[in-house]
Amino acid sequence: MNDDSDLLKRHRRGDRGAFALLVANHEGALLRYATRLVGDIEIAQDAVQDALMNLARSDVIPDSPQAWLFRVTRNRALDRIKKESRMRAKEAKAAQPEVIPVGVDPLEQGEANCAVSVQLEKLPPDVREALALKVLEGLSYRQIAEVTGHSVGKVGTLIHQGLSTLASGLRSAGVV
Amino acid sequence: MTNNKHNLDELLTHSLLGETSPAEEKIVTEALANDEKLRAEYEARKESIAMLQRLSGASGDVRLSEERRAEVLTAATPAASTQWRAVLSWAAAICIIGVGVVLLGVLESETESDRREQAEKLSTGMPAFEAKLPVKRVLKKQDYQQPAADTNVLQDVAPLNTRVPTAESKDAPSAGGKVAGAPKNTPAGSPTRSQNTVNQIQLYSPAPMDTQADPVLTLRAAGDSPLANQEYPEAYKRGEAREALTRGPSGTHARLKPDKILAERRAPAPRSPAPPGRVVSEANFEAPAGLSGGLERRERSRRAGYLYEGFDVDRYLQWVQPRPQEKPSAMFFRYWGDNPFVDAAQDPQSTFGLDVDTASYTVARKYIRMGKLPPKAAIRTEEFVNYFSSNYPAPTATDLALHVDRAPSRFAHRDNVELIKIGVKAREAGERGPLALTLLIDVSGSMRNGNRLGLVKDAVRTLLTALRPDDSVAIVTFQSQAQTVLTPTPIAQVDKILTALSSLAAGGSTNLEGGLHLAYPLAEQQFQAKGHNRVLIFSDGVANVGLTDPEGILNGIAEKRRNGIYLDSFGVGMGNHNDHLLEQLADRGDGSCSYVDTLAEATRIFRKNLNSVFVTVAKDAKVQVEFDPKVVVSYRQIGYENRAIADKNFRNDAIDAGEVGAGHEVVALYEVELRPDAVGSPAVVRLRYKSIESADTKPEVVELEKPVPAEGAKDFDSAPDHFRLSASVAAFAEHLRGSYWARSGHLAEVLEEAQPLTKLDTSDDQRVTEWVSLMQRGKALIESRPELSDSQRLIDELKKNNYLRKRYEELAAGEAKDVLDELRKQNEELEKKIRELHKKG
Repeated sequence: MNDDSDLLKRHRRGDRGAFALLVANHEGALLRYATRLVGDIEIAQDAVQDALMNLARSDVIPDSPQAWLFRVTRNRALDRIKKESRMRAKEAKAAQPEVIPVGVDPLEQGEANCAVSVQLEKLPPDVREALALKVLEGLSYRQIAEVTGHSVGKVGTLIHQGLSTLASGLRSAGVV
Repeated sequence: MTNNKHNLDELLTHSLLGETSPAEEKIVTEALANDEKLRAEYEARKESIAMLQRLSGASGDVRLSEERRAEVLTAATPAASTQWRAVLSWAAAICIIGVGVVLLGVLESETESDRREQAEKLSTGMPAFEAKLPVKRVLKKQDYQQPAADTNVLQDVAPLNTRVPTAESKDAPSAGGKVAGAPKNTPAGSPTRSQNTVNQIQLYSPAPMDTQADPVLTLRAAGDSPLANQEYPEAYKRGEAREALTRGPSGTHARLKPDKILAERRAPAPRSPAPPGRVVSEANFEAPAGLSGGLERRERSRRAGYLYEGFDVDRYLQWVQPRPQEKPSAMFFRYWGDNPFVDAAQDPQSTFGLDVDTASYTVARKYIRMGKLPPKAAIRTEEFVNYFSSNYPAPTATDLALHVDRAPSRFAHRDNVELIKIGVKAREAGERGPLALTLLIDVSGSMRNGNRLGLVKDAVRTLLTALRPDDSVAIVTFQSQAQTVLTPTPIAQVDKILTALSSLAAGGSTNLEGGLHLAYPLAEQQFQAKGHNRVLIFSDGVANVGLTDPEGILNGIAEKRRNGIYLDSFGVGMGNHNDHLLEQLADRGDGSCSYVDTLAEATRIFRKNLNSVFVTVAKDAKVQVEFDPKVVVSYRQIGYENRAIADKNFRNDAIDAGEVGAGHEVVALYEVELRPDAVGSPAVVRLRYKSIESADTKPEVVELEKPVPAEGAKDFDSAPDHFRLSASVAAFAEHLRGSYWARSGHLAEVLEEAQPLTKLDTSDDQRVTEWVSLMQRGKALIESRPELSDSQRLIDELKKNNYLRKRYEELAAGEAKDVLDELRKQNEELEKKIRELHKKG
């Protein structure tokens, strides 16, 4: 988004409020994404903090600060998980990208949400991740490519695969 | 060809996600126009996206923790020379957001059980947690709840129930400790209750109160119970206390028949088989085949009636405990979220602010049409009733007129139970002053879903056609940032307004607070002293940037309201539609809250009822009903759960209550249990309001009074049409809510009563017909609601016993010790069973 680049420029010029706005604009989405990715709120918070601090100190203004933040958050979070999982083999599983929001009561979700969760569980991790970045966080295919390291074409294919599988699953479950 | 097809299939996805070029978009549009199958696929994917967003939306807003934010912002602090100032200003900023962020941060980063603890603390009203943000959190959660799980704690945490200041935090653990220890004291292998029944006291009741097979709440005393050989407590002998005491937690009224009981005591009742549903079977918690992984676990915990996996049974049982200072009625509300029956002798007055909104009905309608049961929190019974017309004559001498009717209740299934309908009708507007409307339109990303913004634009166009040339309109939009799109413009220049309207596009986050900051100055700029000044919010109500808690946003609005600028909210969208926030906004802004689900609804609101929406004739309208305990045993108000006002505040004109627009009708219903032999008027109804002519005249306080007639209709069928309509609509809403009081009835009987009422419809008003067909669709949904699981049933029973206990304590003041002991004993057993069941699950 252009707003982000503007905010960063203002930040470089010494506008004290600019970076705070940038944080407010992105922290929620980044935290959601990272938490889903690693299934650990603390690690997610650390990763997001790292990414934001990096951006604050950096002299470069990325093309898409948003994608940049997602990418750095992703790398930090996955690094941490890898490190920790060496110590605790159990948690290696948590490194799988996860779309189901953490901390939502299953009972509260209701039938429909339950069905969505089930269908999501069936999707491959990379498909799930791309779908979440697009549908939940509103990133463009290009930005997602930048975050995940896939090509833009691959991102489109992954997302299409995810959405059509999800839709047909929900259709056969009678929810949609 | 296959390749083409494949491409088209992929293009559908990309088009839905806004990743197509104009040329590709054209291909998609053409293909969709010609291919029905493709359209179905397109819709299915669109809905899947919406569901995914809803699923994620339920996890709420997350923020960085305070320390981390501080570190990030320190890292972002620029040049060293200004550093100290920066630090200072950040410190200030952090302080401001501090309270919120800390709490929210804590809330967000905690585990599920912690979250529940928060909710519990909130509901006990611990002072430290009266802070505002967590409340929002709880409310938000409520909005997403499905009504199925009766025992859901969060569902029980009612928005109004944050009071009850007690030493709960200190008391509860000890109470819990006692409880936890109790089962251990029960000798192992002691006979179950159903086996050692020697003496059975039937507390009630003639009518079935639960949908499940648990029609009788029995108090069974073992042979060595103090009940068996003690004289009847004094309190029972006193007439009034007996009446009150014998009432059970349900409207089916615990009928502790002294004579019968005494007889039973003399000759112990023969051992009777346990009533169905009382004995806990070896519950089979196996999930149906075909479910896998997470769902299976979930399914199992659902069936076991846990709140969620990892359900902490000790903590839950603690929550169910009565609280030291809690009134029985507050306890009932905490448990079931419905208004209880109140003893007229104990509390003869019932006071509330009028609610003119109808949004709840339209929200529920949309849910049902989508084939889903609306969440309980979304159903406000009074708004259902108020959606329909009672056709009262408009008053000419006063601004408001009172109407009172009574007739035997059709749906209570008990004798001596009547329904009282209180109707308020406002005068017609006459010549209205000019309208100065400031439209605050949500253009955040979520408004793209399901064409929400398109519907808003259509609604505004409808509104414009109903306005006069001297009315004026300004438009502010908000997403991440707020923006003035149109400065105040008279309707005479409607082209300019329409152009501004069509330029709106959705994207970004939702900064409602920022929008309000821009909108109010504009409203002040176009203020019409002799006219009507309103800010209209069109939104799906999900604020996520800036202040996002209702309290913070609401306080600002209440201030503006005093300057004569009112606020109305119009909800659109589904799923993450935050109905509660919008209702609260309108409530604080002294305006109305509507939900626009279709263009037809927009037409109904703006074209047909423009005056009743925008021309307020009475402010702070409150009703007080004073029941005569000589005639009325007890009463319950149907709906208005979040509109209650303290009785003593009825004549306090500083208290904010309901606003009534020109021509408006507002209805309130009470179910009352009458003394069989009593004669005379059961109650007197008072209405107090401030009469307002226009924004610059000083309001004048008016109080009207009318007794409920001493003689009502002799049966339900001979009651007036509007009375039967209101009664049936309320019954429908209660069924939909899964209200405690709807457990005894069936929707089929409501349908039966409703059918003939379609005659009230006219050619351009088909509301009743539409409602009947809605009920037909809703019936299957309501009937498919899962039955309570065994442990849920036990928990429900525990709640009932606790409620009973509380009432006994209050009414008998120590005299009914034996009954209390018996109840306590029963509860210990119940708790033990719940624990056992939990262990097995």
